[in-house]
Amino acid sequence: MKMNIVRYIIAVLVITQAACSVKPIEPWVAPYEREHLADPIMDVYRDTVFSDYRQHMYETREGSRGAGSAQGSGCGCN
Amino acid sequence: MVVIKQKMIATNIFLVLATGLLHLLVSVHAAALPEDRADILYHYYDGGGVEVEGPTVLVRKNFAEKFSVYGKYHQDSITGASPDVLAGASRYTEDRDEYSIGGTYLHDNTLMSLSYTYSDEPDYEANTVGFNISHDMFGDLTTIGLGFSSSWDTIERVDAPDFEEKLRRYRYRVSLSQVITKTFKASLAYEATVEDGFLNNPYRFVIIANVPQGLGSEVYPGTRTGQATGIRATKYWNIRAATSLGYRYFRDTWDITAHTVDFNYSQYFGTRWLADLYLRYYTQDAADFYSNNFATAQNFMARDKELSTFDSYSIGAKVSYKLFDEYSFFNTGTVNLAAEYIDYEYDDYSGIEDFSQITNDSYSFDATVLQLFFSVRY
Repeated sequence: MKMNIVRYIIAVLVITQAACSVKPIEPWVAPYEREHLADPIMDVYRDTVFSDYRQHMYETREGSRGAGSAQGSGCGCN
Repeated sequence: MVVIKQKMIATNIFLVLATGLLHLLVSVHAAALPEDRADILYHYYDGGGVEVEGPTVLVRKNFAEKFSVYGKYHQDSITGASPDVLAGASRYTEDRDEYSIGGTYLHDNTLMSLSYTYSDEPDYEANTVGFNISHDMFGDLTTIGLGFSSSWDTIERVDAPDFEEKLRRYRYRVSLSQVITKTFKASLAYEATVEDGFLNNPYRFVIIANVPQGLGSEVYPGTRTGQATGIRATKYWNIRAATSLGYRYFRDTWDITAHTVDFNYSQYFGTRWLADLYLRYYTQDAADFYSNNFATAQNFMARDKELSTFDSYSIGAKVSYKLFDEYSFFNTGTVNLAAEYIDYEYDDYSGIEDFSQITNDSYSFDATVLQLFFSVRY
């Protein structure tokens, strides 16, 4: 148990230090160049009521799940 | 024991990553809260002897420029039953009501979200708590995200008042989204699902040597761990259009392997119209304890078609029309209509509508899905 806590603290410190030691990267796409990236059509899940329903509909009829757009619950499958 | 160890490992990894991410909170550019919006939707599904319809209502509001809260209600009103259920039970109607609330907190480049969902139907109750954190970095070109959810479900049978089983589910998610060029972005997501408890459908049954067994005769393992990895690439085209291509690979401890490919095309027309075309292909291999007709009884047995080998194709379209700009305190209002056609082709599952009519013909069915919704932004 004690070893787990030590490992956990070391891991957190390593991640934090690694992240803090990274030099700021100059973005190769400037903020004023992101007009198209910000367009709603660049997000296939932009209407969550629509995409969440589709995801639930597929998950209740298939044997796989995960790595999609939504987290559902319940069955509603019959 | 194995599941407990898997959960401990997954929880430890999640805690380490989440704590590391929290240490990264630095003031650079601000991430954005979800937009204020309200949606009211009607959905209709018809396929395989089942009709599902009902409303969805979502309201989301920001305040103090740091918080966003939402409430959502969804109802599935289900009529009929799929063939294997129908063989052992009569057609029926039931409702599933789902209530969700959640909030998002914005701190510099980091979004933290907490949500709770309660789902209730006559023979199934589910509670889910979810936590997500995402952080924009490297000049806002990269977004990393972590998610965790825990569910506790209660499964009952409408025809057996004393029947009650439990199911716990844990989902762990890591995602990375990257801007590649001014018009191209890509994302990668990994999600592990660990389940522990009653995983059967209590209304299913198995067939052994051509003899159908009673309802609830399936025997599933009490645990299941699935891993899904998804990638997506989205491109803007200078004809006011965008395309998105996604692929997902899934594998679990029941030996199910699944592949999903989807494609989406979006195109503006004029100032008010937006059309989407979407295609999807799905294929999976059966669980290692699945059989349409067992030769002899086994320790674990399933005849649920969701665990069989099958392919699914779908094609759909959505049309959005902007009703107004800047009306009263609303920014925009849209009306949207979507229609989808889905084809399911089973390799090793035969439909059965009566215990006395057992065939070996492969089952297939088509489904039609309609969604009509109104959205306002404010």
